Amino acid sequence: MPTCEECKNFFSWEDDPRKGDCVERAVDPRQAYYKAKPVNADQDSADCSSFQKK
Amino acid sequence: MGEPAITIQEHEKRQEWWWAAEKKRSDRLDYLRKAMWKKGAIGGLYPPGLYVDLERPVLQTEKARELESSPDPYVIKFAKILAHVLDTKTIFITDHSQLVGYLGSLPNTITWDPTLAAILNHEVMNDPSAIPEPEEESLKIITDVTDYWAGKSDLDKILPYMDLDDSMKVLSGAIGWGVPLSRGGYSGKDYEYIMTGARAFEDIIEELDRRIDEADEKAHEPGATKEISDLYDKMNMWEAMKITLEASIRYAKRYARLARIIAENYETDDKRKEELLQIAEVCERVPAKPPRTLQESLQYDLFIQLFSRNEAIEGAWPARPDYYHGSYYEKQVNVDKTLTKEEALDLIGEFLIRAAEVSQYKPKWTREGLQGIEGTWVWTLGGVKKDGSDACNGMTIAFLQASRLVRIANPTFAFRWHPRVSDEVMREVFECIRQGLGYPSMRNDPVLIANAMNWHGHPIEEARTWAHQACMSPAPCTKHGFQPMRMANATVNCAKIIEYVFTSGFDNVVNMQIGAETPDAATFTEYDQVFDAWVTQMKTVFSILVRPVNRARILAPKMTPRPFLSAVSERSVESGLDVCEPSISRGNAWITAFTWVENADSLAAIKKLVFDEKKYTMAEIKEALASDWEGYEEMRLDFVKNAPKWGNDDDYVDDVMLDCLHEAAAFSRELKCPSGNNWPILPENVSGNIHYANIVGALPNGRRLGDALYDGGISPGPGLDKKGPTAVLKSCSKIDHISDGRAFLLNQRLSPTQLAGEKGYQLWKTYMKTWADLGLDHVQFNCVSDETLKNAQRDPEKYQEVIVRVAGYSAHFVDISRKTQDNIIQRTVQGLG
Amino acid sequence: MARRSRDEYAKASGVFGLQPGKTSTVKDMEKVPERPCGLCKHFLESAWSSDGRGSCKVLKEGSDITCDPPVFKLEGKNGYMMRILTDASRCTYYERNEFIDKDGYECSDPAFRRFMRQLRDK
Repeated sequence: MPTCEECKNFFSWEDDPRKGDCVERAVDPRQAYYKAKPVNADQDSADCSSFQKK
Repeated sequence: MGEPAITIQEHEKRQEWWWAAEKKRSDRLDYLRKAMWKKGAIGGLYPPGLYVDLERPVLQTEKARELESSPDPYVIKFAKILAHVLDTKTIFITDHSQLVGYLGSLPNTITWDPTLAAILNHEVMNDPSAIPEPEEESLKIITDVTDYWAGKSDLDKILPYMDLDDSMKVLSGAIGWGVPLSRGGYSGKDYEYIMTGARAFEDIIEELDRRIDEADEKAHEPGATKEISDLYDKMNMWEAMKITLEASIRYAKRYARLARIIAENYETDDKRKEELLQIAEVCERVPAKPPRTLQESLQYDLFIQLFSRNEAIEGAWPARPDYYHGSYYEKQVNVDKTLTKEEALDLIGEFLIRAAEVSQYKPKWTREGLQGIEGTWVWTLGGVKKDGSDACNGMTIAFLQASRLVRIANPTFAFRWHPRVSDEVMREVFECIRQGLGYPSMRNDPVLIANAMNWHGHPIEEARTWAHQACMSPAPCTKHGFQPMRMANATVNCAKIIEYVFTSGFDNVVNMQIGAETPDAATFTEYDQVFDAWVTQMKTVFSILVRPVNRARILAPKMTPRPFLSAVSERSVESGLDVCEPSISRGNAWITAFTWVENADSLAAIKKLVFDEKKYTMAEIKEALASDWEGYEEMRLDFVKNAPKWGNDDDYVDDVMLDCLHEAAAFSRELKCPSGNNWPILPENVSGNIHYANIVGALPNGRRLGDALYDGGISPGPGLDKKGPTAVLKSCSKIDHISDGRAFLLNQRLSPTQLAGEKGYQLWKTYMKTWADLGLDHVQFNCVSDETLKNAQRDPEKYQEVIVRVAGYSAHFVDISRKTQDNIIQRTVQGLG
Repeated sequence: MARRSRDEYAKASGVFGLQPGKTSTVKDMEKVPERPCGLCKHFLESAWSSDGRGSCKVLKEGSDITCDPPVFKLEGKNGYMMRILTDASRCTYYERNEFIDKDGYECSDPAFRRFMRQLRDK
């Protein structure tokens, strides 16, 4: 089972490596941006459409 | 060969300010301006492409479920829910931006807070266009969230403790706005505490810790008193404040982290990498520590506003940005020269854009009454310092210049004019008006300072710190003077007062007895009887709207607390009491009086045509109004054309206006807020004149159900001011702007052609001198031609940045309903000179 | 009206957001009956919000068309309060409104505006 910490878009927190930010690029009809959401490193990412193995 | 590009100068010569601005602003500002998703509703709907954000309600609900069995008192649970949202919501950084922070998870989302009112949640559920796809999945989430909060939301909790008779009448939507919730209106801020650079969040946390420790020790000394019992509540409140501040600091650091991640892993442009690392440094610094630079100061301010909105719906944005950011601007641009003027304008322009894009889902009356904008972000510029000296500075000018570049409708500015304002600043103000921004509105500072002292007893040094609360009303930014809770439902649809005189208080549009059961108007044989009935209806309607506000204000500290707003307010940090606690506030209440002038015009028409000329009887008018003037067209036109109208320097109707105001002013002193202070009225409108068009019945000024009402305040009805701008000013000057009410909105429409060049500036200055000499407190200008507006109606895509002054606010012309557009076109264009 | 009975009227109107005993869950808010009150010419939508509340111009307070047999009160001042999606199948005063305004981009008219997601296809 792939986990978030195996993903290219996962960036672990310095003060707590069990957690990290999932960062993604997005473009909508008006603007481009990077977004981030906190995830657990060991979170199951089998169903994540954005998963990219490191 | 293609057509040569039109130069900036040519655009300006043609008064095509919006296209000139597009060419003048920096690439960064141009990108950010076009990147913005506009959030104001058109009519009653949010624009296409916007969706209700479902992330936040899910986060709030999951945390609330988790805390159900927690032994924490409510205020701490509530603070933990707020913290959970900040810790776990999606954040984003837009390309080319230098300031960060947004309430929703994505740029095109509208934040929905399900903890406020079941009624609001049902509006989301019923929304025909803003539910995200796939709709079925979204509805499952909305249903689950709505089900959970039914009976638990703020309004559900306090309604059983309110007078339901009053509540029913308010919630009919016929007589006024708003909802009596501390988290459902808007708040001023204690800027003298939080924005002077003396402290920031870590300093306050330190103080809170000290107070908690002291209280904890005292609470466990031998003894038992009420004071000790109170300490438990205070400790809970301080604890909750601390939770919100710590979460806010963590939230900022999330942006710092993201900015570094982008710079180190994704961004390839060196300059942009540097900017991202700068953002990281800023967000590590603020709001934990006081700002040192203009960028930090603006970011700090933006964060405070967002955290406040994380906690509550904020339907306005009281601010005095040139005053509180001015020292950073002066230092960096003029003293240390570490920032060029252009770089500063980029930051300020972006700050305006960040404020413009804030969005929170609001009830129908707000969407329709504030068309085209999210809420009234009326920012106060200019004025005086606490010692009375001129407060204008480089930042004042920079804001005015930046606004012309980005052409945002909201924030809008209001300028505190006083006799010592420099010509340089006045010319910048004039340029904004001339270039069709619809702002700044002009405020007479000496009059309004005296007014604040007269009505609410604010000491002069505090009164001088005043900022607009929403469109019009001043409140100080001080410890005991600032206003933490403005519930808009002390906002009266005053046209109903005269309507109810003829229906004995029954409202035919919402099918409910709302007003007083005054005698049958058909039996009146003297004008005094009509006026007495009017006074009774006025007192009844005002009371119905004010009572719930008072009641909710009293209930708020225990039932609907605001730990974050309390944390940034000196009086709460000191006392351990919620910021809405009336005993620690001086009080600054007022009644916003929509649709006010209809009363004077209607009463004057009755006085003249019924009692002076005896052309009609009261029974005939009553019959005509009941049938919406159908079959009475000749009579209706008589009431339109042959009765005197306000705004023409005609004592006949102007005296009627004064009678109405004097009665309202006297009653204002009988009404008391929970802090013991007065409730003066403030005539103005926003787009309530369109929102209420189908809600107010036929009136004796000749109006039919469905006709737009007047554009508000003390502005004459559109097209009814026939004697020129000086006559309008003279009518308005008969009102005492210090003692007859809190403030009085006046819309004026000017010709762009007439305002061109130096001659135009001198004409406007002369007009402003007359305005000031006559002691008026407010005036605001629309300066855009009929031709442009009609072109914009035909071809909206090409006129996206044309702005109009609606009433207390500005909006992009293409972002308001057709009926509102037509109403603005109808307004009389005044010729100056 | 005595205060207490006014309170019952208020509660029955759905001013709390849900009508106790009538629609017990939010799922009921999705049910669109064949003849909903909102499509009747006598219905007036709330001027305050689009949460689906409203009142009847013909039936007065004290009426109840959801029970069997229905109760019709024609005398009195205040209108009978119900919701857009209240089932009017038992109401003998029902008359379909010929004009239903679905333009959400103008301010609403309580007599005609029914731009509600659940009524999109009606």
